[in-house]
Amino acid sequence: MELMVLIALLNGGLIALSRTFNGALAKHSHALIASCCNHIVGFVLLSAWIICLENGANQLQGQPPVYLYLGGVIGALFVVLNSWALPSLGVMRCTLLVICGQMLTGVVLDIISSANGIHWASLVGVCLMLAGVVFLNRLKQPTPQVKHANCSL
Amino acid sequence: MQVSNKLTLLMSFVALCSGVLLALMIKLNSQLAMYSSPLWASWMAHGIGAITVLLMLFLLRKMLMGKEAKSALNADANLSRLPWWAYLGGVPGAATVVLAAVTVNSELALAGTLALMLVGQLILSCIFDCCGYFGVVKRRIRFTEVIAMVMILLGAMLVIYSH
Repeated sequence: MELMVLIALLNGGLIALSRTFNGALAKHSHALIASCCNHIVGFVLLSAWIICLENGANQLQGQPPVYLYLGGVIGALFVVLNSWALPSLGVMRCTLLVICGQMLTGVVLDIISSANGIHWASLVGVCLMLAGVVFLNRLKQPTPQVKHANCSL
Repeated sequence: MQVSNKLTLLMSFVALCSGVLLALMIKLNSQLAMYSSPLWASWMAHGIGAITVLLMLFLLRKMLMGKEAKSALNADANLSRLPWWAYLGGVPGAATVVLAAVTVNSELALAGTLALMLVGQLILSCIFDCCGYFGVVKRRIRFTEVIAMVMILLGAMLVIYSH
């Protein structure tokens, strides 16, 4: 159990690391290039992993509907937007805002897809997060600015 | 100051939008994973993502070339050297998929994994910001930001655990 907790925490750290790398690349070149490198490197690594550990679990069972493959397209756009915003917001602020967008969308998707409404605790959570975002943007002084915030998208 | 304030607001909005995309992507990918495995779904998503960006780069190449040439003129000398590790964003990204598959199938389940990953993300984000690692602009975390962080984290936990 403790090991699993440690792995999950470490995993979150890896996410932050990945986004910071992409942000650095976007700052030096372009957010699209960052997304491109991220996906190609990830694809090569995961290909190697799947080939090395071929045990039948990764076989396709049945034909998934085509729209499910759009996840890849959306993921590519996510990395573009995220690496664009990260250099001028700082890692912590950017992470917080991404978490908010993610959780709020999750709740909206739940409301759309489930017939019996949502739990009250979710609504409290949504309000808390929205308040947090407003609070974050009410700071008098903005974060120290990156000299060449890459606005060329 | 006014300009940078506007930029911060715009970027905050962009970051929020990227969070929306992230949620949609996770939803689609987890459905795709039901047809095989999370590893396979992520592999597929990375491949399709790579093709998408290559296509976008190809379509937008004229615009990018113009912009790049312009920004190269007024770029700082210290910014023009690209560190080698900046290309490796895909490495921790791919490792995340594999490790997440391990923890989701343990006693932690999905909720515990999500919650701990959020905490891990925020801890390392704060460290990067405070120490200025990996090309991040070094800055102090303000007290108000800590309060906002606690509010957002609490809200996220409520959403995760009310499922």
